[in-house]
Amino acid sequence: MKEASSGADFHQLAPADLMALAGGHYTESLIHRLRAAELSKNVLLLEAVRREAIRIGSDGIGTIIDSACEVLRTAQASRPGAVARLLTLPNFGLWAVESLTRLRTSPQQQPGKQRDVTVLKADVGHLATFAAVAALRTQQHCQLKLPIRDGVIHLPTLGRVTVPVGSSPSWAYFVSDSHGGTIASGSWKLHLLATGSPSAWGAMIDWTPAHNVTAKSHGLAIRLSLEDSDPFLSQLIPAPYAISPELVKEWQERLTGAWEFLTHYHRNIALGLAEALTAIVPSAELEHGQPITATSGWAWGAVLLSLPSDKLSFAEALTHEFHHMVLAAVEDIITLINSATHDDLCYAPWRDDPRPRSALLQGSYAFFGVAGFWLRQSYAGSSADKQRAEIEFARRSQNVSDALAELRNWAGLTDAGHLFISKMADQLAKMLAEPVNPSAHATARQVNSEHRARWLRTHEIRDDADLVHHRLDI
Amino acid sequence: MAEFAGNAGSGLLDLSATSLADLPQLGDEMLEIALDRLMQPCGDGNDDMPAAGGRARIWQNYRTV
Repeated sequence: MKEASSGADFHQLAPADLMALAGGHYTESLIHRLRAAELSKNVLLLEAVRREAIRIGSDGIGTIIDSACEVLRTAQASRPGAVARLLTLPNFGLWAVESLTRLRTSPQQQPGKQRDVTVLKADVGHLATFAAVAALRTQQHCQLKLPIRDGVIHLPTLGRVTVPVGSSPSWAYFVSDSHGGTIASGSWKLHLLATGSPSAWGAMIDWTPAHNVTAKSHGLAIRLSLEDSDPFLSQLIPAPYAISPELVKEWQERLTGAWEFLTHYHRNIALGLAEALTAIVPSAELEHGQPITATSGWAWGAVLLSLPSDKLSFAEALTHEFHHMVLAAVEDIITLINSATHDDLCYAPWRDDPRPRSALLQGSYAFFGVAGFWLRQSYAGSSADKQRAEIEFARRSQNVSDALAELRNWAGLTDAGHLFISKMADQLAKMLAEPVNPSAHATARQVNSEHRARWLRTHEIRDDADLVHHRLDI
Repeated sequence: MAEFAGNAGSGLLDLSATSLADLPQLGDEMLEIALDRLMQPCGDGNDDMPAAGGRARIWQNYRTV
């Protein structure tokens, strides 16, 4: 295993790799490298949290972090792959960036903020729950303090245990050995079996196992956790959504259908998803009939979704969010947008609100993926399905073409950024050369034109010339 | 053409195969430069959602009609 010496290595992408990603030509190997970069990001954040906790040096935060890190180090020595999987989890990434930011804006120096400090300690101390899972997986002898939040201890990937205590943050003691572990708080105690026996976990009192959905089709499998209660991922949910066994069944059925589509007609997207996606964060719709999907670069590996109405919508949503994940990882490795350049708001064909120009790149890439999805989909299914697919393709390809034109002359793109969108434009031109019913393009033009006109009206911009003079500064 | 990335100000440190036990050897300056670069905005913009660490870095999609 490499040392973190002064002769540091960096993640790199050869121009051919960047062009492959820009053109939507994914391979398992490329996505695996992006995943490795995300692991590096989380490890870097973990080390920064550890140093910051020591620097603050009060209220025992440093001790809790140090104990957890020691358990993770020992686990890594025997099962590096298992620890790498834990540290690449989306909830780990979100814990890490949230903890670092919170520690650096710590209320410790501010008088009268004891409650904030207690909450901060529980939030940052959540690292111990990842360490406890690592200890169980490696049958390690260890002792840890686990935070109890709202009467619940969350063990990532395994489930959550309800503890009969009050709602204020407190702590439980975790002890493990080669046979399993024990969690205790006051007179309450729970024995956990050694890892690898989900049925035993599920049978325990006070224990709610993690919800998982799986699918296998055309020789390719995917396994996803449904993260409805993780304390960090939950912060991303705009509309609360309590998942029940019946809803898990619905998610399972729709994933099975979507995965069939993806593995059959969109093979390279499916290969990428199988490598990159580990969790779905379910959300309610914002309003009835208004689905929502989202991705966070900090929670890499997770997508937030309201329950898609059908398997095709599910497959489309996963394709869209997969592209955000890919570009998030690319932007962690290389700089596509110069953050020092003045940003301004502009029209984004897929949004009703003015968007920063820098956000256009992410949106363009996601809808570039969606355009490809519908083009491939237009070769499949019934004539009604084909008609829908052709219209969707025509609409989204026009949207991306417009957005790339907007980006092409923007000084905010770096050389690599310009190269990236040039390759996207080349690939889009190839897609647009495919035979598509002219009426689909006409319908798409009309829908797009109406959207733009509505946007201009809503934001009180009379025409495109006026738009140039009404750039809304951030 | 040279590969993209490759220094602390413009790339991502490869710690994917680094032992956690060796991380304390990473210099403070190197760590801070790497963090600064990581925390820079990169196509952010969804300020309408709860954000990790005050920075969105979230791409949210509504279905527009």
